[in-house]
This record gives sequence, structure tokens and C-alpha cells, in this order.
Amino acid sequence: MNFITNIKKNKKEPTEKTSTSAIAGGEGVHPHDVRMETKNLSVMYGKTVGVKNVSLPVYNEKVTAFIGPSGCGKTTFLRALNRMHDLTREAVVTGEVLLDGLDIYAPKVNPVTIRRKIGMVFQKPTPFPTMSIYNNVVAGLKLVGIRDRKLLDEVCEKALQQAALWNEVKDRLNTPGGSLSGGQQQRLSIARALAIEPEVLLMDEPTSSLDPLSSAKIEELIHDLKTKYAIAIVTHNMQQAARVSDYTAFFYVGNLVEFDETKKIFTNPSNEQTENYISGKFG
Amino acid sequence: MSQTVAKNFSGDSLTHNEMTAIEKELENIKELTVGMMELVKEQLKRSCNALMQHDTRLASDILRYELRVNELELTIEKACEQVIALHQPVATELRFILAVFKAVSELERLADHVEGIARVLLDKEVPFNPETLAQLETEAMYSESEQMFDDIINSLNDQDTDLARTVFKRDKFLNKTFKRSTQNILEQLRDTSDGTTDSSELLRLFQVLYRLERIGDLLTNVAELIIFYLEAVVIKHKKKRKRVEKKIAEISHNHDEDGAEQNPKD
Repeated sequence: MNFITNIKKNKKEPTEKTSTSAIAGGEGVHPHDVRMETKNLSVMYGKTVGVKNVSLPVYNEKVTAFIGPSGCGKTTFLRALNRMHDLTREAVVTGEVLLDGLDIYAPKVNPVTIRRKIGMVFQKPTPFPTMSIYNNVVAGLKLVGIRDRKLLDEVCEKALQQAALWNEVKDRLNTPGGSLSGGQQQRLSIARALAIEPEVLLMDEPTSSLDPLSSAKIEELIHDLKTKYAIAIVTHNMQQAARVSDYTAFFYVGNLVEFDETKKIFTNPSNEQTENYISGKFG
Repeated sequence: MSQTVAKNFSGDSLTHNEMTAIEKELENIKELTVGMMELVKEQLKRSCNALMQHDTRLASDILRYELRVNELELTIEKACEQVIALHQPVATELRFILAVFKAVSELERLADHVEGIARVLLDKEVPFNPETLAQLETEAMYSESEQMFDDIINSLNDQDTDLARTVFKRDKFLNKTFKRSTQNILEQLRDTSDGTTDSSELLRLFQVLYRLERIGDLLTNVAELIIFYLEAVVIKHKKKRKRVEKKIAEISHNHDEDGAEQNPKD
């Protein structure tokens, strides 16, 4: 059945030049809502181009999902948002990544300072297994020299509450982080990211290694957290992108193919490639 | 079923065996829906022939096939429910499912109207007067309704929204014809001077014509759903909204003028 191909005559053909042309923009979004923004961002590993010339906003108090098939550049793009590629020798990043209007790749900007403002949660939970739950949460603060016990206690409780883990661990804060279940460990990782009070939270497939119940808890948590942070999430789970995000960016072979409100992407995407991907026709 | 039914992302043609699970389900739903449309159209044809030829056997066939229409409605609704539950369709596929889910309900209501016409025929022991049927343009209304069915079936099969839009024009024709015929009936009912007016027959025919007019409205709804599926635009209620807003403006204007007359300024 030609459910898609025949009726997309009015839809944009895939293009190599994407970037800003892929941004349809949602109603009611104002410039001051933009917390992060990329301008013509490209990431190369040697001669391989991972991300091509992508311009994209990340709105404050909104969740932006990055979707696309494996190797499309979505994780590469996410990692460029807090200078994770600095640690990869072959990686070359060009273009701009603006946080509140300031380029995080500018010469005098310290990447550690940037990562305090832009927290990251990875695919697999990353607790320090032998370190206590308490120390896991405040590790970032201790790293920058904060030793005030009262302050650390307050931050620990607040971060664990924000990560919806406090009630489950408040009586065993001194037990190792590795003793928690997978879902709890991921929420612990989120608590650690929140403890440094970031402005933006980046999540790279945060539920891919979790069971459905733990995934649901993380999704609920994302809903709660977006009232305070700008959140960007990479996910392979289309339904998850539809459930948790306000905006969705679809990447394909390093290009940003389409960016729009999630409800638009999942009901009437402008681009045929996007429709084929979200309908499971490829990828 | 045609062998080449879909194209994948690269534009390669696919046979049924190469389709994804959801594509197979959607293809099945589409075939069932077109089948239901053809069955209801056949019912409409039966009622036309039964009316013109006073064929009570055909009229009773309509009652029998009505059960099949109801069964198909439930079957298609169940299939839609399963696709939503098991495949979580999005975009075009989601719109297709939503459109079909509502369209089968419209088709079932439409078939109820055809059944209503059949019951009118079964209640009447003698044939309708052919001259009266001609005066009231009954056959023309039937012909237009059947044409609307053809347009809808072809528009769904060929994914042709221009064809779906022709249904709106045909519905206007039905509305105008019904208005004319109703006027004709009223005049005949008023003029009983020669004693030949068969009021009972006229009222029965009014019922038939009213149902044909409603069938036109329901087919228009189905055409709107096909356009929603194919173009992602909702055109439902738009024209009515304009008409109502115009009417309200007229009433408001008249009201203002009356007020000005009753309270002239010094």
C-alpha cells in the first residue's frame, strides 16, 4: 500500500544542505526561550563527517529529542553540546554552540566550567560502584573543592529528591552506589548531574538499558525536571520521544533533516524521510 | 490483491510479502473499508431499483445485507483498535486509522438510511406513481448519490483528493434538488382541488428524499475524512462556521437597525 510515498508530493525532498532549512519552528516560541543554540555546527572524525552544518535551538523548560537511525549523528551532536569531543584527539568541531548567547567553544572558555552548566546523563548508569550513594551525588561538588558538610547534605537531599530517588535511599545513603538496581543507578546518575545545578541537562539514551518500569520512572522524572531545565535527549525509542519531548529533531547521515514541535513531527511531518523513519520504514 | 502495493524508503516497489507487519494490517483494513463502501453502494442501488420497480424482494434483501454492513463495521473497528494497540501508528498511518475508524461509522449510519428507505417501500402495497417519482427528481438524486460513492471509492484507491472534493459539489446538487422536490411536495399537498393528490404517497416519498439528502451529507463526511488522511487538513465544519458567522452578523445588523428605529436620536 502506498501509504506514504504517493501522497507526499507536497513534502520536501531529502536535502544535503539541511541546517536551518530543516527548522519549521513551533508556534509561541520566542527568542528568549532559547537556552542553547548551535550555528552551523559540524563534527568530523578525521575525514569522516559525523554532523554536518547543523543549526538548532534547545529551548528553556522544554525537552528536545534527537532521533534518527544508528550512525546518524545524534549522539555526536549531543556530545558536542558540552564539549565531550575535546577528549577525542581526531575530533574536529566547527561552528558555534551558544549557551545563553555565549560560544562554549570560544578560546578562553574552560570546558570544566561548561560541563558544570551542562549536565550529562549517559546510556548506561555510571555510579562510582564502591563510593557511597551520598558521595556519588556530591562528587562533582567535592571535585571543585566544596567541603561544607551542611551544604553538601542539602545539595544531596535536593538532588536525590529531584531525581525521585530520595524516598528509596534516604535511610541508606552510606551504602555503595553499586548496590542499587539499574533504574535506581540511572536516577542516581541524574541526581549527580543535578547536584552541580546545571542549566541544561543532556541525556544520551538514558533508558535504553532499563526495564519498562524503570524507564517509566525516568520519563516521569524528565517531565518534572523540564520545569527547571532545558533538556536534550537522544533516544532510539520513537514512542519515548513522542511521550517526553516538546520538540523533535530528526537526523540522518549527519544532517538535520527536520526540527519541529513533537506533535507536528508525529502527526504530520514535513519531510518524507522523517515520516518514513518514524513509521518504521527504515532505520 | 495487487502484487505491487508499496514503495520503501529507496522507492523500491514492494510485493505483499515484502511489506512490514503494519503495512499488511493497513492494507487489509483498506480492502475491508473499500469492500464496505461497495456493499453500501450496492444497497443504495438495490433501494433505487426496488423503488422504481416496486420490487419488495429487493427491499427485503436490503434488510438482510444490512446485517453484513453492521458486521463489517465491527470487524474494521476491531482491526483499527488492534493496529493502534500493537503497532502505534504515527503520521499518515495514524491519520489513515483515525479516518477509517470514523468513516465506517458514517457508512453504517448511511446504510441505516438505505434500510429506512427499504422499510418505506415494504410498508407500501402499491407502486409509487412513476409520474410523481419523475416530478420529484428521485432517480436523479439516486444517480448523484451513486456517483458520490464511486468518487469516494476511487479517491481512496487512487489517493486522489481532487476526486474526493468533487463529492462536495455533488452534495450541493443533492441539497438543491431536495429543496426543489420538497417545495414541489408542499405545493401538491396544498393543491387538493382536483381530488387526485395522494398525500400518503407524497409523505412517503418525502421520507425517501430526505434520507437521500442525508446520505449525501454522510458521504461528504467520508470525503472529508479521506482528505484528512491524505493531506492532514481538517475541513470539517469550516463552511458551516462561515455560514453561521454570516447569519449572526445579519441578525445583529437587523437588530441594530430595529433598535435605531425604535429609539431615534433627538
